Amino acid sequence: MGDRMQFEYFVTIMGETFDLKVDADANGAIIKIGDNSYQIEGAYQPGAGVQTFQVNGKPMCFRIQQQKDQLVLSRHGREVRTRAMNRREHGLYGLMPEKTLADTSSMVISPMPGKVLAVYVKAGDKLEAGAEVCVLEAMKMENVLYAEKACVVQEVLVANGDTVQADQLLIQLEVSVGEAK
Amino acid sequence: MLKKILVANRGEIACRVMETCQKMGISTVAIYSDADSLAKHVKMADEAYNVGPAPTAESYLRIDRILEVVKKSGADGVHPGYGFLSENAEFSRRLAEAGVAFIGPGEKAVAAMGDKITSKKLAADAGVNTVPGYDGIITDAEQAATIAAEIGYPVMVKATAGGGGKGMRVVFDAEGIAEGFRAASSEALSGFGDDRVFIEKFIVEPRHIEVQILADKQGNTLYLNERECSLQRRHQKVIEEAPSSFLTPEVRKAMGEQAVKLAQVVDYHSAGTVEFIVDAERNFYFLEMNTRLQVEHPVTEMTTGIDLVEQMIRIAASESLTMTQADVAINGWSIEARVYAEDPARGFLPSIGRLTDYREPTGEGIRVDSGTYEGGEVSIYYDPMIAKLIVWGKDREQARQRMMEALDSFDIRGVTTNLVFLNALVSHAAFASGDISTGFIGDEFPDGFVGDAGNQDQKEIFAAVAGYLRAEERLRAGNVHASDADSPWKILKRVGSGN
Repeated sequence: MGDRMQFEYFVTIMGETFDLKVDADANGAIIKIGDNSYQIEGAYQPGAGVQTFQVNGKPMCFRIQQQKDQLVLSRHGREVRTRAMNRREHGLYGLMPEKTLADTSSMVISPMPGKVLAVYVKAGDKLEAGAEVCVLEAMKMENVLYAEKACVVQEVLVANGDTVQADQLLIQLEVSVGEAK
Repeated sequence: MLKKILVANRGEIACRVMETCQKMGISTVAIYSDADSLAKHVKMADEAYNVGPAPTAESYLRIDRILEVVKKSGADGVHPGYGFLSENAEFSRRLAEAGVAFIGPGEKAVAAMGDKITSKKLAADAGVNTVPGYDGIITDAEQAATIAAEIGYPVMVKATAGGGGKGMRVVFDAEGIAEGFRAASSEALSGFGDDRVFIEKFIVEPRHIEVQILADKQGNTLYLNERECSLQRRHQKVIEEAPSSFLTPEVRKAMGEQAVKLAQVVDYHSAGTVEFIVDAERNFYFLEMNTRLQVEHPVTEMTTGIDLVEQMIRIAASESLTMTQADVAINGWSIEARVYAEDPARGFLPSIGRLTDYREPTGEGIRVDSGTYEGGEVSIYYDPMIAKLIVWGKDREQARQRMMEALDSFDIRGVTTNLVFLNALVSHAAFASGDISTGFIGDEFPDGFVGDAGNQDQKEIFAAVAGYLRAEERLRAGNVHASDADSPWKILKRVGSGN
């Protein structure tokens, strides 16, 4: 006990990354974020649902929930999901493929991780609702993906043999522009 | 004085009533359903009797079974709490026949105030301000249009038997009146089996402010000032406070005196609440009278120092009030927040389950009325309210700060709660300045509640704390020894839940 240790952490909060220099012992720490300095004190209680720390001398109570690899912190009606990583973890997170989640009505999205076995369409193709667009293999099962509505293929983002993630965008469609007008 | 009181309720209010009984040296009798055999109110009571299966219609609402328990236990008084049989005229009549004191008002008051049209007529006759409107029953859309034009738009079409927002339609112009009339009456018919509707002026940016009254059987009636309950979600109160930041002493007095007049007209005795709607110019109009103890009664107790349950018991035992209107003061400020097992991120759906962790906040000016404990269960059968958190402060700002801290330190796990949502309300700048109306929650959170990260300074503090926890965890990993290791039960639980 009584040892001081220095850490560098990268904390992400809603897509924003904070670069922390932490100088800590068992009772407290001085944390620098850019030009700002925070002195935090208070015994760490693993598994506590709420905990009070002295932040720059002021007692502050936080609600703390562990959710997978994220900590959900809340105080005074504010709530954030945080992920504190060291340099190596942070670097690796940067390599994780970005999941594209958006308006999915004009997209063919991979429902699971798998391998593309066949793509039946190319950019510019006009499709009827229910047309087969590609085949995915996952867990030794072949899954055919269909066009949900009549559309024109805008861009094919994968090729035969590609390994894809769950929720990855495979084919971008253009939903009958003429009809919409 | 009464010797033994049966509490015909469950949850926090049953515990609340028993606490006062114990303070007064009165024995307590609990009733419970199959689902509540291990409930806190059962453990608190001197005697407890099962009155049936979990559904309320087969247990807590069974007048015959409750009367049997009254007989068996020898109780000489019954406190109904709120909800359940608290405003049931038949229940109080049958208790009277059995020679048992009903700790609440007489049958006449309950019956008169139970009907919206009757109560509004009584109020108008007693000189109480009522919302401009038409007292009679509307028979068709044409009549509705004529009356609405006389009152002036916007108007509200309301079911006589309505409540909880059902059978109500706001109509902004003549074009919408036919549809508003049709919708309100059909909703009323399906919801209450009674399609009678009436029309009144719709108050824009209204505040909900109610007056607590206390009356004995000797004809002494007092007003214990007001509570403001403007923060509502779908007509359900969420945050209540006393006094109201909106009233002037003159308006407070006028409201109090009108509430007393109304109570006297129906020979009211016991505790009761006269609800008013107050517009932006501080015009106030009678809404309804609740002939029972209210959920939010603690904020009145915290600011007046009067134990309302004790007064109700004394009045039921025919004692007369020992205080006068001049003795009723307002001391400081009190705020109550209703803590629910519900998920604000999912449209406030109830969250069912066991409270794996439950620790109430403590500290100066904090009161928690709850009916549960760590390991207790929130079941599908009853209201998912876990507790009422009540704080007192010397002024509104101190009370508000204490509420924010207390909400943050209320440790409830196992079910999803509205604690963060409640704190977002209390922390809100508009609430801090007292700029609220019954539309506040709907206007501020139109798409429900999602956690907000706050400004850059607040985010940075969250980031610092996240980094601190990671650093301390790392330091600790090198230093763990048996004495400061976590309880093995906690570790097992965490492992078991995959955290």
